[in-house]
Amino acid sequence: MKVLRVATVGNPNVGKSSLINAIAGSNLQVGNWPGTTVDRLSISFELAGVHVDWVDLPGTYSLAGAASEESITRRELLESPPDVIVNVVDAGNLERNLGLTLELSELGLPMVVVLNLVDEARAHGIEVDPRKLSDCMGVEVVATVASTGEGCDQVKQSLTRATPARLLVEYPDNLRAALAELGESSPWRGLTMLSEEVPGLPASERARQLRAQLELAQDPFLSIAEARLKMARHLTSDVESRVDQGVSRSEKIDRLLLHPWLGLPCFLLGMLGVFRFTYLFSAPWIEFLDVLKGVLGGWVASLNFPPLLQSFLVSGVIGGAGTVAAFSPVLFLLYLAMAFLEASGLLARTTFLFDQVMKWVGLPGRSLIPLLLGFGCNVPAVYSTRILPNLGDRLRVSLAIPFTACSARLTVFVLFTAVFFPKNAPYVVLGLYLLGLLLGLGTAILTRRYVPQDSDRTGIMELPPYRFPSWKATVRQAWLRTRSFLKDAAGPILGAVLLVWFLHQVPSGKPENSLYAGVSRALTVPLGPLGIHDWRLAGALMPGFIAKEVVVGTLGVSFLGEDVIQPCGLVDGAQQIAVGLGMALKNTLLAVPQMLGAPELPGDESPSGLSAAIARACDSAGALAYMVFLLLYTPCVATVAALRSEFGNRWALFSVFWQMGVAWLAGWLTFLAMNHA
Amino acid sequence: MLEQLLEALRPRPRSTQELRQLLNLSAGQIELALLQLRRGGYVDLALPNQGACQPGCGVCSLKSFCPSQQEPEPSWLVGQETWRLTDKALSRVAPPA
Repeated sequence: MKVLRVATVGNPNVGKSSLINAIAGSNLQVGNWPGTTVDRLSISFELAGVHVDWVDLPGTYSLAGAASEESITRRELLESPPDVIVNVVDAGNLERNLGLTLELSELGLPMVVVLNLVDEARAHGIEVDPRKLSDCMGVEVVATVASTGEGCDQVKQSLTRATPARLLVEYPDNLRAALAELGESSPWRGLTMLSEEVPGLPASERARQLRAQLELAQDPFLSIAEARLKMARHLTSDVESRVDQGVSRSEKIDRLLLHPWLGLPCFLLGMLGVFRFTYLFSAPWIEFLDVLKGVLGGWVASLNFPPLLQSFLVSGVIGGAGTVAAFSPVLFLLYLAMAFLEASGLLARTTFLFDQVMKWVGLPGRSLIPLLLGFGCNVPAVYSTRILPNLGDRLRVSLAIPFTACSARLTVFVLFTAVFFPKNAPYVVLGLYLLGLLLGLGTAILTRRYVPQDSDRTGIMELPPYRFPSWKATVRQAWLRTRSFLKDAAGPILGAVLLVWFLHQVPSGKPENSLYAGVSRALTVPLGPLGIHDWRLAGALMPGFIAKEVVVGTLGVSFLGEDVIQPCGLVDGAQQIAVGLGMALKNTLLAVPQMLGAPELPGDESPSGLSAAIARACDSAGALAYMVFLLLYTPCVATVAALRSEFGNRWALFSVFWQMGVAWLAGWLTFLAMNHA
Repeated sequence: MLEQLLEALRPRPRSTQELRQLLNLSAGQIELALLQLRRGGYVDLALPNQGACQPGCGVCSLKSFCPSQQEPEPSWLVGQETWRLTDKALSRVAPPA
């Protein structure tokens, strides 16, 4: 079968990954901010009898330069040249995008230009004529809206017809003469060697001599850049028509959201809205899954298995892993809210809003993006720091990320706040998230002196346009992340929870006399000043080092082991499920007016099951201190591994011990403050 | 255009918006030109700890770097980068007559 190697190249945030997803049906991460793709990603698929190897390259403004996105793209195009370059261009910002397009055209490789986001361009009164651009450049130009799939079939068809672009830029005579004398394989290579030193593309001795001669008249870099700018301007004026529409909708919204005084309250209100939404709409479904868990336990209990096997199934499998699964509605709704914020462009706005704050911390504004991504999962957030060009900035942001509350920790917050702070749960959780963010930034400030600075280069921030997200894509992204959480975590969680159950049985079969209980009781000594005296609470923190998701599962095993499971029949269980489902649907509808500010209706608030057991284990001061400690203590193994692979053992170990110390101190202060309040 | 841009930045750092208005360029033109100049090492962002900028100046970190320290601070706009000339550019752009 014929193999076609394709590479997508374009400026940041022009929809390269969206285009591949639309064509190949893949699930590459997409987002409405520059730097969503930080590394070379590749996928393979069949297309009309052709095997396509498609490489998604990080967004870049140029092929030369030393930044990681430029190096990755250049290496790919020079060392393993693709059969076709798909150059994705933002139709609403043609002139700036053409800078890279002109560089690509000088590589001499077959190319297709994809004019993406034509819908947004039209909304801004901008029309680009793809046929005219195609005539000028000598390559196929396809207009697309990758998010809806419009034009993607044409892109597929154009791949096999791709041809090298016409050389358009008119360079000064002395440069052309030098280029001809150098005789490099492509004009881009020759021009780059004549104008600058680029990593991975060493200039020959002759090129250096010619550069020195050219510099006597003018820096060849400036001559080349000026010629390309001139051509980009010429092409744009030929193919683009604009109707001035005055102040755009994005600008009007930004006047409020990015206002120096109103912006921060808007941000806090937005975050509070996210947590209220997550809480109000997930609570009915958590209750339903709890009923489902109880019924499953009852069915197993009615089968009269031997006591040890029954304990394994009810307490270990259903009580442990089932407790984690019961919190999946919270995660889905949080991911849904985050996906909406990302796709709409609101998340990227926060980087501008906090730009001055971040500058005060000594970090670029865009470092807030990895920190906010840490609310989902700390591991990809650490890797996403690659959008920052400065190694020192990357390290400091990565040390701050584990302080941000990942979604796994949210499950414990939901459980504890529902029991101890039922009226103020969203506010308590918002406070915990802000505390984590503040302590993370504090760590970034404190480590400023001690981290290496490899360069003084700082990334440029771009303000992406507002886009009303497609509901289909938003729900799909939230579902994929929830599924990934459950799928990736299922093995380790189940393994860890079953190990915890096993340790509860050793040596006597009685959890309170087990080896696990002994070690857990020893842990209550250092955790005592934080108001944590119950061995089951202290013990659940141990497997949390493996994965924070396991904490809630371990609490399930430890606390529910003592509960007497009532056996139930098939019909009785099915009735309970049906009633639970009805209640969940009814309460979801009731949550709509509450989300809009209506007061909560009085209901049965007495905790049951795991919640009731936890309510007996500590008071509200101890519960808050426990949540603060859980928020801040040592990162999970996967995050430590990510820190180690990116920055080495020393900084990974520093993160573990530093966070443990900060967590204990913050937990202790919280307990003291709560008792004196 | 690039020479004009360098000349516009010589007296003091300026935001993208200021440069755009001063040189009467479109958003795309100014962005592409600044990106090119930055890659060539002629301009960079004016930020604390960047180039000769010191963190001690508070919100405006430019005073100790700025060739004309007595000038008023550049306007710091949310969502707007502020640009400065690098040493390389300062050594190449001719001083004022």
